Amino acid sequence: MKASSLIYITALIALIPQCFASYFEISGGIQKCFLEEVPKDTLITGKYKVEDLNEVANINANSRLGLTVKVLDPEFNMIMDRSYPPEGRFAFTTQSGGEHQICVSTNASRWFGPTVKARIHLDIASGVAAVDYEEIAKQEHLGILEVAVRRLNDRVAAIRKEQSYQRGREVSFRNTSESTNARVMWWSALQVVVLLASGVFQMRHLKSFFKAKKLV
Amino acid sequence: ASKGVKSGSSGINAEYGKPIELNSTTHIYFFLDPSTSISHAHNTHTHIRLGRMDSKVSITKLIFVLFVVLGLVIPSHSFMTTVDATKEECFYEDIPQGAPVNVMFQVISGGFLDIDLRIQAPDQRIIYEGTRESEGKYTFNTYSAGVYSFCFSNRMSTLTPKVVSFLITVDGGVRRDIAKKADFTPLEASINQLSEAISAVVAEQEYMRLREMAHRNTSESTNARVMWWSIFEALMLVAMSVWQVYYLRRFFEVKRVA
Repeated sequence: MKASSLIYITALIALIPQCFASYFEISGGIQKCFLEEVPKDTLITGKYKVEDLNEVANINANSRLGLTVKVLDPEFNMIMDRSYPPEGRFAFTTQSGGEHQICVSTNASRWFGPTVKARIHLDIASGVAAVDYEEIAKQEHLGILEVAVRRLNDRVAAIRKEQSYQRGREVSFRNTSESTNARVMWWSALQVVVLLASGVFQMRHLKSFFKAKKLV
Repeated sequence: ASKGVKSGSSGINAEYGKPIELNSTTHIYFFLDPSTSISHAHNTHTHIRLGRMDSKVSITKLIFVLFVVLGLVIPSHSFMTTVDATKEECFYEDIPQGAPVNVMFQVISGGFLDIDLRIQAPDQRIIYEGTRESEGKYTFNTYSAGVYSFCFSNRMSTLTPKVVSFLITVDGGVRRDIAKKADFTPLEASINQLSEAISAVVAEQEYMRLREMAHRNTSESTNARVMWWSIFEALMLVAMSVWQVYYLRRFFEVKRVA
């Protein structure tokens, strides 16, 4: 029985594609930024692997590229700037709600040899997707149903948090729209006034000019 | 030798696929059907149903654990990134054969909110090419295993960078079939249903969040444009009227000299 269950475990796990299935390529010191719009106090984790595409030509084992991760908060302050080894994960918790920028770049620039070209496998998860429930189940000795219900609770709490965040954003959106509306109205009125004033100015000036030149 | 089988009880220890000899003429081959968790034993004469296996790690619990831990998560990769003017950003995925792939993207901000998307198969054949779309959803089945590329191109724009949010989902469809057939207790079934419903809510919320972001960007851009245009137009009006006055003055002055 144990053997058959093991077979099915492996079969089911084999159905899960490789973790690092998605990648992109960058060269040199160029950084690539990803945006994440999240509410306050959200955990964001990134799982990555850096592959050096020049490695075939360069046998030097010391030149393993690392990853530099810079995180900018919605006010463009740098809240995280760290270097990481070629493979691993990084994590941070947002201090404020809004659009965060996660910028990654390879940290090595060779003094000699061809330009650095790297392939980065990256997976960014935020909120509930970033939490490892297997770990929690082990640490707190939770049963299967307890983990399931805990996860459901966390997801519903995340939905509520997102909803209240959206409510706040809608308020600022509405303010912007109303300010645009008011501006359009006032500036149109001002333009009519400016037009009339310039017309009056022109007429008066020309009239006095012609009178002065004794043409009228 | 007999394995100590009592009639009516299910106390057999057996190995997958190996025969148990009950007597010299009857052999039972042990199979486990994962879809029903009921084990069947066949022999050449009769088909004996042994009933539900009661072991510490039953298949239902296993599937349930997997679903709980993975949360019915379909492997997907979602990113929101900036594509600069005249540049192309490509993302690559290693996909097995015969998998249904779902690509969804939305342009959040920038210019006319349009972008080109090109999906290429491992043999460089173009699966999909969309020009100047502001949002799209495309599904296809992979016909060969390998690296598929998804390229967003902003080459049509000379100045404005575009922000694109996209989601690539590779659906492992087999797991869904197992989920339907497995025999869960009512509590586990309820929890699975809740989990699916919450996934749907989260997906909808995500979509609305992106729409709100796009509208907000449009609104802020309109606001800024209105302000700059108004200042520019006021200055232009004043400058025009002053120029008209001085031109006419000069016109008449020149005439008088002649």
